[in-house]
Amino acid sequence: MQDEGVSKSELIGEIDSLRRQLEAEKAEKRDLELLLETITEHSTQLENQIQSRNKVMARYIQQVEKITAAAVRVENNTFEPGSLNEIGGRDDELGTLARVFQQMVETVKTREQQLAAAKEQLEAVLNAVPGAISWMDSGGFYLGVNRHLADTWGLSPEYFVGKKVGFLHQNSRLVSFITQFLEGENESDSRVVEVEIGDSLKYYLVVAQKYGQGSAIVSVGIDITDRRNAEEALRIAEENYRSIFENALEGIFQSSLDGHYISVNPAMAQIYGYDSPAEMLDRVTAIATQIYVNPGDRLEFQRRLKEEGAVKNFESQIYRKDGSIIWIEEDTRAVRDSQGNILYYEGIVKDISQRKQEEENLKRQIQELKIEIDQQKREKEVAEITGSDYFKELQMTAESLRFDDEDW
Amino acid sequence: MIEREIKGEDYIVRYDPQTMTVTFDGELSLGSSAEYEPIKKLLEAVVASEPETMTLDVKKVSFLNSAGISMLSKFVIALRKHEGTQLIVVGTEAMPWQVKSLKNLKKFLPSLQLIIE
Repeated sequence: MQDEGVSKSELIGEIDSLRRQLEAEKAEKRDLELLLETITEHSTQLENQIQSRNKVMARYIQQVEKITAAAVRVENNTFEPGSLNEIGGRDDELGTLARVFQQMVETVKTREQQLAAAKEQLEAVLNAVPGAISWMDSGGFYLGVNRHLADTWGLSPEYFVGKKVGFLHQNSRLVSFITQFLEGENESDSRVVEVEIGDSLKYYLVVAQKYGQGSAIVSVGIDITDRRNAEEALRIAEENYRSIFENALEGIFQSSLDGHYISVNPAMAQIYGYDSPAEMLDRVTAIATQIYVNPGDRLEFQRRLKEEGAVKNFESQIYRKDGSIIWIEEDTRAVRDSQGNILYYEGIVKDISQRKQEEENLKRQIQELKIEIDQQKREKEVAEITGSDYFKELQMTAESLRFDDEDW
Repeated sequence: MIEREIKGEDYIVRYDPQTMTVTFDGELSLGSSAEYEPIKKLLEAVVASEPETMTLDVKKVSFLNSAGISMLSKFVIALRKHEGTQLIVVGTEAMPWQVKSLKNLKKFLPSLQLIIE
């Protein structure tokens, strides 16, 4: 019966011990409650702080997202500047960003419109120019050509972009000109170049110019084929004329209104007795007095020239260099400008001295013949009269009368 | 008369006596335990009316700070003394904090019925 042996004091001791334990537990409990409170309040503070900062940032990010969304819409071309007005009203950096964004989009749009208008105008000008215009990069690849150039080859302007110059024609003269120009130091250069287009050979005056700090060149080609052909035809015509002029047997001349020769051919100089055309041009300064023997001839000549515009087969006597006189015959006309004013005279001269001499001889012979004929005619008349019966009767009467006279 | 509604800057607490449901809506970010006193009082008043079930609907609570979860935990502990009242707590997976923290509430009161939607 040991349980009955548990004494009162032991129980009291246990109770005390339990009480003390209880107190300790309570104290610990209070500490724990305090700890819980402390930690709860501390974390609550932090949580609330973080939460409210989060909300501020969320709002800020929302507005930033509006701007980034606007950027996406700019790429899609659906951006409305007014959609950023609210953010643009902020007085912080975000407001500035929104306003700058709006301004930049506006500026870009305006510039794009201006650029498009300028490009359109430029294209109109380029396509209106009746010359072959092309622009190339420094490697000799076409960046673009105008309509005229493309039409020359029967292609579209777009076809040329990116192709190397010379891709259409085997002819390398244009290619070598462009290549030399690209490799050279000159800022600009020009050359007349032959180009085969289809079956025909054309001549172009090509002018090339560097631009963009030498990164590109522009080239303008003017078709001078017609001019070249005309020049060639003119050259041949001039050669033909020169041949005739130099070698003609007749004298050919041009003279000015104030009385000196502008040009004379070798035959002319020879007819007038000069050693050379140059000497004649030099010596003769007043045709009216130096050349024409009779002033009246010159006046008559000028009158007819004025009235009829030309004089044909005009015969006159002229002085040669040595002062001797010969007969010439000239065909002369006045050369006029488009207004009708006389610029100079030009004509052909023939030395007709020999013919004139023969004419004189013939005249003289005829005259002599006439006298002879008259003489014979008179003798014949006299014979007729003296042979007639009437004349014989008269003679007999005159005779008988004579006898009568002698009786006295 | 139990209050039907407690309104704060970012939250509303509503009591529906028909369904014995206290619905919490918004951000519960009060500064200290003392500031949660009115809500605590409301919950205690509902329990005091000895309902068979009492529902706490926290689906729409997007933020609950430490002082708040502390208040709820103490309330759940106190409910041990009211064996006649079945406590139902309704939360949602959509709110990140609710799955873990509401499960912990059940540790204080095993009889607590937890519904996570």
